[in-house]
Amino acid sequence: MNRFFPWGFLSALALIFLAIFVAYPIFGVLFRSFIGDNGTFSIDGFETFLTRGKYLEALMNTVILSLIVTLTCTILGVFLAFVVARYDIPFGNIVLLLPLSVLIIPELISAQSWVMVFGNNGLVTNLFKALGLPFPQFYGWFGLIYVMTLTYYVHVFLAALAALRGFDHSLEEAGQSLGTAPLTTYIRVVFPTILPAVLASGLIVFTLVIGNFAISIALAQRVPLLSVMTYRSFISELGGNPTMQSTLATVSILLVSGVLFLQKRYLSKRNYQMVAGRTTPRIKLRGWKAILISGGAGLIIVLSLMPALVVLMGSFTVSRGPVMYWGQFTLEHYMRIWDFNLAVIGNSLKFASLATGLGVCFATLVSYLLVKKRSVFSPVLDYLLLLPLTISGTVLGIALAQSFNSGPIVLTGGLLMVLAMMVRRLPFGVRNASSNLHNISNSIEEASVSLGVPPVRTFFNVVLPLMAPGIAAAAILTWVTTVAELSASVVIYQAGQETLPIQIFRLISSDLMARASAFGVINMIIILVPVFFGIKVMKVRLFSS
Amino acid sequence: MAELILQDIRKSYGDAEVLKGVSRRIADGTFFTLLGPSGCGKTTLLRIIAGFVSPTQGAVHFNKDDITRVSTHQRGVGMVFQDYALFPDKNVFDNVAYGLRARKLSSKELQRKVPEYLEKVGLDGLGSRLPAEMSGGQRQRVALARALVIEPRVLLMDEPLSNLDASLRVQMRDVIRSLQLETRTTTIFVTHDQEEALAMSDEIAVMKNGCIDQCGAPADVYRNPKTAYVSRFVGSANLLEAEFQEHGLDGMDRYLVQGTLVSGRTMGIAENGRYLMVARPENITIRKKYSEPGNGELEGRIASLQFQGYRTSFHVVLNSGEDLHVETVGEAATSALGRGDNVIVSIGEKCLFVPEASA
Repeated sequence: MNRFFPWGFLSALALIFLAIFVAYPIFGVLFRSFIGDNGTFSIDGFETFLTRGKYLEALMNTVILSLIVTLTCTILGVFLAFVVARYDIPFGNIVLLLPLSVLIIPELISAQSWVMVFGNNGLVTNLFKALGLPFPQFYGWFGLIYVMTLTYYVHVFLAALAALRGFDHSLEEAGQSLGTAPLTTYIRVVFPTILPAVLASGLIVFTLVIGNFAISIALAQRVPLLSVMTYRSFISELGGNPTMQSTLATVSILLVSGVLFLQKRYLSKRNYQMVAGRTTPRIKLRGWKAILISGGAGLIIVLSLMPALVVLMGSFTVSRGPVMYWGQFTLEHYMRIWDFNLAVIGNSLKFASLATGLGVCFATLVSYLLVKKRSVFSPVLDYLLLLPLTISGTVLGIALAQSFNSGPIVLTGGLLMVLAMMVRRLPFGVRNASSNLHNISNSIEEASVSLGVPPVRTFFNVVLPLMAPGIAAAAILTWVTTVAELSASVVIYQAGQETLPIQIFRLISSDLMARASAFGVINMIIILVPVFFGIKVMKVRLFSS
Repeated sequence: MAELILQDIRKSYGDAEVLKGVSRRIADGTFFTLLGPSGCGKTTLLRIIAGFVSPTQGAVHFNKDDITRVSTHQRGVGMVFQDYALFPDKNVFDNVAYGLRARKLSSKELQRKVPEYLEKVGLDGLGSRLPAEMSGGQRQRVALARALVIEPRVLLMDEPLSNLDASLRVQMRDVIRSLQLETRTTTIFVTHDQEEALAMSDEIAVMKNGCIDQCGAPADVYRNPKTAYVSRFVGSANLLEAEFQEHGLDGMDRYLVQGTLVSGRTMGIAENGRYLMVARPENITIRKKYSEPGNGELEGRIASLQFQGYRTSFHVVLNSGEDLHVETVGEAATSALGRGDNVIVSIGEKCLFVPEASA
């Protein structure tokens, strides 16, 4: 019996793939940040970073913005989760749409829609102008915090809601029986137990803000941010000295890795085991409390779903350049896409299907190898799979572009786009795909083999059907993120390879909001169809947290 | 169906030697039980026979075929797992048909054989159920039918009854044993439950630290344990230090135990001259102390007793401080005895003497 073939061999192949397409580019970036103009070792990059005010300012701004958004998201997410879990509010079921809204509305479209409301030519801005009232400057801190909070709070909301729903009501009753008032009990007993989940999701928000490109570039003209600066350094210095790009990318990698390390170090230990008990009965509110609490929750929900509506309206609205004529409807923007830009839709579909197909196959195989067929390669594979988590899309794009533009392996254009989209999603794909795998006992495979079915066919006969729900979730979530992917592809793409998000990004930069909206609606439809199909027809559970 | 031959099977994981040379010839049609505590190597041996683990050394033969290097799926073994290992997404029929389909049987034959075996295990008509809709006992029956329907050369069972509750376990023993007798399939049954082993097997191998300590028919192993370990693992036994005195002409040797002379058979020569007396609880008689103890008798006090209907179980503390477990059957002789009574226990001639080193 050959113990190496096939599983050890496949593990080795996966390892080689990740080494070439994940480790090599990322370590390349780290390495190049220490290479000066003349190709020798130097710390000029970091010296420039630390001495030039604008870089340090960008770093500080990024950290401050991340902290603020994490805080606002936590407040908003925990509040909403608390209300949904504890009170019987009239629109309770709409809340379940919220996690979907994050999937369906790409960050870029969210940013765009709020610019259409509050930006220079925005609906509300113009309304205020017409009334002669001053309106706060939206571009900058206010806009960044506002849009990012509304985009990212759902992560905290979902984590907190899951923790609250898993909370054993008997504990709360125990608290009350020991003499604390209901609300005090809640604060003393319930909050500490959901704290780890909330903190963990808060850290996710923190890393998302650090890596955020789409919202930042749309709204941060007046606030230098690390991700935008990294992108600009790449665009302006393309073909020139890569030291500064690498240095900026390295700083971003270190920042995110630091946060992830903190999370592993401190948070993973503080996970309380909750004995499954009765869930808390929901309270029906009356009077002003009802109006206040359900009104607050309702407002958050409306604001979360609003971008889809604004973009939908905008796509049918007459416009001349940047000026929108709200109330006058036209199909012109869609006609233009039909006449001139079908290729963009084609690109999006092509790249995303390739990335999803390859990514899901890879994730399925690797999760099986990691859970069921551990070998000497497995620990290394585990670590390599963590690497994509440490880099933002922009940094990944730069890393791939730098590594495969020249050198031993040259890849360009389409292949690189597919690779970027696939690599970003891999850690999550593997996690989704392996979700059922831990519950499949080894003896099931052994039973199949003992009945005369060889190991590889056993995998297809017995294991794959049981993995199917996880694989479907991985496929849908990979599709959703790759269709919306902007930050890595915008760095890599070449003429003729524009995807929907890239096209939207370019139109927003030219202030052509109505046309961007039409692309946005198409983008959202492409995302929505498989999500809807998966949830309604295949009964895939996307949010089994 | 086959004779199974194990030749000096050894298995090491790094420095840890799990199996230290197991050899055994298991005749065709035998129900063979590997009995031992966890960690004794019984499951590893079973998995070597199945082909999931390859031995560091040694060979496994089915009849004349050396299958040591043959992959599991080509060995033609049927296996029943502790956790049933039913395919959760397939119904009972498809579970049982799985191995037949791998053997490319026509659907006509499937329609004949699957119901036949479902009937054998008492599940006729339940083919369309999913495993999740069945009880533990029913699942184990499906697993049994699935393993037997392929007419395996050897049937392997890895603690198949340990997840069932007590009454079901006894019932499933009968089901398994009568099916085995009906099909005459050579069966290797792994368990740590001595009662199961005694009740079901043609042959028991008591394993300890990677070796077979003793092998034989259940009654033989029970009556003639060769080591103190076997005596304690199969049935329960009282062990007391014994000092060799003389060989008797009747095949019975005499030993000094706690100052009294006891006769019994010697089961092995102790190189250091130290022996243990092995006395089954039911081979010891107990009576109230009316007179001084004679030969083969010891004095003690009843520390506690449990009345269990047809039998009574006594915990006696001897005057030397040693504990003794005594069982009596029937009420008449013992109804006069109570906690705290001073008693004389008499060790009959059915006791054995084993070398102490083997404890």
